[in-house]
Amino acid sequence: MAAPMTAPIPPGLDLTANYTLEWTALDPTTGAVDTSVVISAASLLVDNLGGGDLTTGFPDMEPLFTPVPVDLQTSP
Amino acid sequence: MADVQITAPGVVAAPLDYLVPGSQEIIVKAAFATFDGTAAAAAFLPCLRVVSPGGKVVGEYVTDSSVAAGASADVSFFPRGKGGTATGGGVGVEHNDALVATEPNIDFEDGGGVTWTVTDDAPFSRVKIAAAAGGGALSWCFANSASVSVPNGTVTSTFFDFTGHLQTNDAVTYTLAAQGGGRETPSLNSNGIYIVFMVAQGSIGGVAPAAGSAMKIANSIYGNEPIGNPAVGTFYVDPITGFGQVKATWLWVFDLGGSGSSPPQSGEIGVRQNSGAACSTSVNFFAVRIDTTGDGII
Repeated sequence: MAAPMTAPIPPGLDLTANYTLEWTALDPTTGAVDTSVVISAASLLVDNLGGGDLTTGFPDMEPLFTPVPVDLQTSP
Repeated sequence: MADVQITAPGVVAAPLDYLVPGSQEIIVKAAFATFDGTAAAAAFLPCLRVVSPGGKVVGEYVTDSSVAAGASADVSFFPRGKGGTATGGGVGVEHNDALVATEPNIDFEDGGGVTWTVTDDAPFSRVKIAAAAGGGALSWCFANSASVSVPNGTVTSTFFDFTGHLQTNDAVTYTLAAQGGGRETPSLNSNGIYIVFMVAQGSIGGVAPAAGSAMKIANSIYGNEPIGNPAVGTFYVDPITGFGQVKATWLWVFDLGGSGSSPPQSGEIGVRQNSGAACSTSVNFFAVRIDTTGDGII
């Protein structure tokens, strides 16, 4: 069970093309990225000032595994 | 344009990047992700980082506390900086769990024997505050001298040596300082208001002291003194032992620093007596600092 946590970001965080938002995990002491942490279910809520397609900003990722009901797996 | 949600299609080892597409512009209203630390060997801080087109980090926004190794967290990032609170900005300051005020600044002031250490604990996105009992108010020292035979006479003082006999809770404020003849006496090294008490206790054995004879503590150092006593004790015959004895006391309140004398302060501590006989005498010295500024009396 994942614990709910919050973190602040600046109000009105206005980003133009080629800025990057990066979800990452940092070592509290060194600030180094901890690549053993796996990130999923990432989402953004944004005001789309440009009005264009924003869905291309995420990279190609390993798809989320969705358990398939057993009866579907065994049905002919 | 209405707010829109953009979702990542899968899972990835940290970091996960979202690149604002060409010709687009967004205002971030909120962000979310699940940080799975099942494989993490150490605690970590979930973070949302903003990187400029040139690859420079613009900001890193982390949770207030870390996630333990092996644990996971669902983290919501949302505007909550200064100006973003319902009260118009500031930090809620609590005292023993009760809100005192919400102000943009907090001031920790040393005093009352407490010294605050305030440091930016950046990895945990917080300011860390630690209290320590200062070496300031109500620090004290006690010193006792070796016994000395003080000859009869009112012209010349006999001095005392406190070498190796200083006790204190503040080894910076109180030390022993070298005087003539290899003697050492207490030295007061810090600004402050001090109460100093000395008592010279003497005995001439089974000799009757001269009528009206006395012992006086002679000392001209230890600051500017607005309050003091004559530092004279009258000889008497102890009704139990029959010995001629004396207890001369020296009580002084003074300041060092501010507009008074400056530390360090020390000097010879001596006595004179006219009992008619040599007097075996030792001196006890006690000082307590009741203020750390030294600008309150003179």
